Amino acid sequence: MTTVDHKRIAVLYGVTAMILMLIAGVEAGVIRMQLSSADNDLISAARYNQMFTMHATTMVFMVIMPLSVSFFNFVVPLAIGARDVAFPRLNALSYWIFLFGAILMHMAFVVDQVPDAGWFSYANLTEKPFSINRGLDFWAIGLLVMGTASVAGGLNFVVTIINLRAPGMSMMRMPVFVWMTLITSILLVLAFPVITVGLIELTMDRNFGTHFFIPAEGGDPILWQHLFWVFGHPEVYILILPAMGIVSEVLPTFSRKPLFGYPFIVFSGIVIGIMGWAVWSHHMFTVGLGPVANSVFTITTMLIAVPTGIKIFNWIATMWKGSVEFTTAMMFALGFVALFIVGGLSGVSHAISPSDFQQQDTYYIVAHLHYVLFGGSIFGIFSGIYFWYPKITGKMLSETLGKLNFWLLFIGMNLTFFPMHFLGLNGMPRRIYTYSAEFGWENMNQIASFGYVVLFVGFVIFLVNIWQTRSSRFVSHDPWDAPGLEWSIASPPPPYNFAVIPQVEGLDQYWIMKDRAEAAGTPITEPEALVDPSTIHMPSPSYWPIFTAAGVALIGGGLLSHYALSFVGGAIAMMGVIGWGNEPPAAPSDEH
Amino acid sequence: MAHETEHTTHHPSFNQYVLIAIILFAITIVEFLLIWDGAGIVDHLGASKIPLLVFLSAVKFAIVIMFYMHLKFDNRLLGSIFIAGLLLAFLVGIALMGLFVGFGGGQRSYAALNAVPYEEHHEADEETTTSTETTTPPVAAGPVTFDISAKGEELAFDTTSISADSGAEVTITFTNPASFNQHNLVIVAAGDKDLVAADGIPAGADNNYVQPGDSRVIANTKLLAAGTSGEVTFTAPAPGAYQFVCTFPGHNFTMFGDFTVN
Amino acid sequence: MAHAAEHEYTTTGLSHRKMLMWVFLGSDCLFFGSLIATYMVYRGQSLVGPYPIDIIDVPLTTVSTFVLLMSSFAMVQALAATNADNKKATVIWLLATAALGAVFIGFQIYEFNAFKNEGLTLGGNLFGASFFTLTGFHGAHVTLGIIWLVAIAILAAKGRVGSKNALDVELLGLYWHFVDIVWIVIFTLLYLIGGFDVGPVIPGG
Repeated sequence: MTTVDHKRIAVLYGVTAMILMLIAGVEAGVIRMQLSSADNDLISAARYNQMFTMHATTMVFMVIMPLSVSFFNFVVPLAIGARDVAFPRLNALSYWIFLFGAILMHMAFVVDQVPDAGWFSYANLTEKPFSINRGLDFWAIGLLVMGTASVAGGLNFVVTIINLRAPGMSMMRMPVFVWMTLITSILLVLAFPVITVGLIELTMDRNFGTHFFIPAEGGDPILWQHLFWVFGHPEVYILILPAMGIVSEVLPTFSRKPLFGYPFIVFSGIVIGIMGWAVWSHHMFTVGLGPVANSVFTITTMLIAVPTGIKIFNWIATMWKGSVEFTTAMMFALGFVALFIVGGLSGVSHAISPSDFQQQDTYYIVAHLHYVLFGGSIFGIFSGIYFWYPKITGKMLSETLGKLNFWLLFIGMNLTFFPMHFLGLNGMPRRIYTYSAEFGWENMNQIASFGYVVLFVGFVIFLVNIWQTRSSRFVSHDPWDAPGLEWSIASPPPPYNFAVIPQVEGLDQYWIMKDRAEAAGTPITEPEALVDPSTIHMPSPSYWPIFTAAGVALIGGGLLSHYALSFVGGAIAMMGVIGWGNEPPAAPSDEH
Repeated sequence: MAHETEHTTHHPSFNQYVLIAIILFAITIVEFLLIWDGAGIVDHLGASKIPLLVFLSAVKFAIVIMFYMHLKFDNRLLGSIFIAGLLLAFLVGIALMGLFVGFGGGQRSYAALNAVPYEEHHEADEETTTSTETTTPPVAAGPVTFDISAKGEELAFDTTSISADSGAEVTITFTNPASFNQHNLVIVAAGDKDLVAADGIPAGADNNYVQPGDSRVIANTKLLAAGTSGEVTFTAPAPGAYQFVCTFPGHNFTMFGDFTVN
Repeated sequence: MAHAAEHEYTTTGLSHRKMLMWVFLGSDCLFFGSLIATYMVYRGQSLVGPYPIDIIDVPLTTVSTFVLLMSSFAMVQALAATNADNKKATVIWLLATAALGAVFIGFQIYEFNAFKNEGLTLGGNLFGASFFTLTGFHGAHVTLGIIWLVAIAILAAKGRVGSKNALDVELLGLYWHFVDIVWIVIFTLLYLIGGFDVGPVIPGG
């Protein structure tokens, strides 16, 4: 509860996100069961709306993002040779606000007033007469609370990566995963304020009498769409760049070759981050923006496929003529590349606004988004889990169960989502709770729902895999012979990470160190032999982060129940900040 | 190995800071004179005052950032970090305005058709209605009758406000001249109409889209089919603000009017 | 307070916290930018009055703009006094900054009240909604800054603020000046330019 250690915060994020993934997965299961046959009445239309809204909202904000942040937390300080992040207490604050925010939003289920207007909650369906219960308020306030956690985390990682790199680690010697974390963090701090304003305006419309998105009073629902998607498009890059970073670490390790075209991969990541701001209205092609706007955004969207393509070619070139080892982590990384190509191709077809007119709001889009987010982000994250698990815990996940896990997910994913391309082009709209048999969609839907079962089994295998490591044996600190600095220290790492801050001479520093040691015939000196670890001072635990987080969450909770609670929450948060400021500093020291 | 170097090489002196403050004030005064009728400059400027004002503000902005916030003397990295955010906000804003809204401040189609001129209030009294027809609401002492119709095919009433004395017997004859829309007329307290309508939807057509036993409903007509009319008689309740509304699903957002009880 | 700061290792030689503040300010640009964009999109879209030209009082707000600019000057002096380890001057200039900020808020409250009496409300029209939201959040930022100023002034009076931890005052200064420059943008767009927006013209005058 009081930890400020980035490694433990990473585990907190990971476990929380996995639990939320199970919840969101159940919501997906309900959706697939309802759609598995025509004219089904497993659940009502109202409940169905709640399911797809919560499934998507949870997966985007409470599963993929925290899983990515879990990796940022664990890997980045180790990969740059630091002892912790720049602001350890702020790091803890981010986690606790995230947890409380996620709980706050799920309170909607307890009072059975669940958000039901879709994960992007278009106005003015979200306005009071149309969405009269508190569901949308839970959605807006929950996201506002969690958004502060994301911004705080983004701020932390920007400063950490710029300012805490080990000596000799110039920007162009940073591992690609660190680069992707930096770009993602910059996107986080710049994109979230925009949706914050949108959510504030929506909340004010619903509760304080304004008419920002109400047409009858002159307001424009399209403004909501602009605010949402100016945030929303950078958000999808926030969702995919970390996975791309993970894959860029895994592929070289298991090809026994350095990453091909490192500068190109880095620069294409930067370009994606910048250009991601110039494409938002491709989510709005069918809204009636006019031919000029549609053309502009078609062009920018098609252009943004180029840097992604550059990455894919460089990844393939990395494996070319390498001695490829098909570990589970590697297979998930390869699965990422293959599935992301499929998702990317359907994405390019959306970019062209005339064809998007056919595809928008159909299952073709659902297919696209799941290929890039499941086949992309989730597969990348699973690759990272299998890769870094031995570093986090000191034990390896079973390769046998891992491969089973992979194949079930790979097959299940394709079974579930590939038919959706056809369903969409055959006219099946999104967000319908049932359909008539005469449309001929039933067969494809049945295949997709069967695919869900395969996926479900795959996830169970994954959980079994994690569970069985409790009794498996410990492995060495570098089981993969990997290039990153994080593998040079013990597994799990000691609290201070590095007894001696390494001096970095190039990319893939640990490979450099190992090659040199092998050539000289001498083993690498254990750093703990040089320095007494008890002299290293690490930041002490603190209860101010969880205390302040509770205050922030209570502000949100008060808005949803009794306004007086918000003032109490504000007072608690203020006390937390003052106590925090007066606490002795938590600066990680060095012994230069 | 870079340790924190907190001190910077140059701080402006007290006098220089005062000079900067004076420059900022001066620019603000110039801006004020540019728009003030009394100075007369604005008459010669016309629309060109806008780029000029933006330019002057940008100068003030830059002066505060560079000198007060010390960016001119600080490490370039800090400046780039901030400028990145600023530039992004500016560019996205310009793109949004340029592609979708335009840069003039004038009215666009909906407002141009529907906006109402402003008359000054001198006390904080009731808000203006959106109606431009200012008919004096009929006020009567004894039994009162009103004839209200749906406005053709529109989801609206042809009457926007009625009024009666508390305790009077009110009869409303409601005619539905539409060719296929069904309507009703329900009397509620001001502010209740949307909730009553929302609860009326599940009640269904059999209950005239009014929840049976709904205590917020003062009176209501039956659900009238197209081309029919119906009547409701009730006693005007306690003085206050009320409304009449059609609770057919979806109609309540535009089909309502004010009912003032004196 | 931050006595370990001198030993803290950084790659760039810049303080972590200073960098954090600048990144945060960059982020806040997007926040205010979105609120300003909302205002700009809704210029001319109100259906009922009061319209800006009916109630915006540029002379009055010019005075409050002066006050805020003066407060930035006071803030700079507070930092200079901190660097010079002049305890008395530090406290005076910090409290002066806070006081001027409070005067600005006073002007805002007066203005909000006057507008409300003229019929401009959050729910009345889009001008009210976008105006009050934007200036309200700006005012909230100023208020948080005033609280922060008073807190640091109290610490300074106790002798806990000086050249060793001048960074704490410098960070507060960055925040305060940022709030000032946001006001410069708001003043220009909402008052000098937007303040003359009219509603529908009544035919015949």
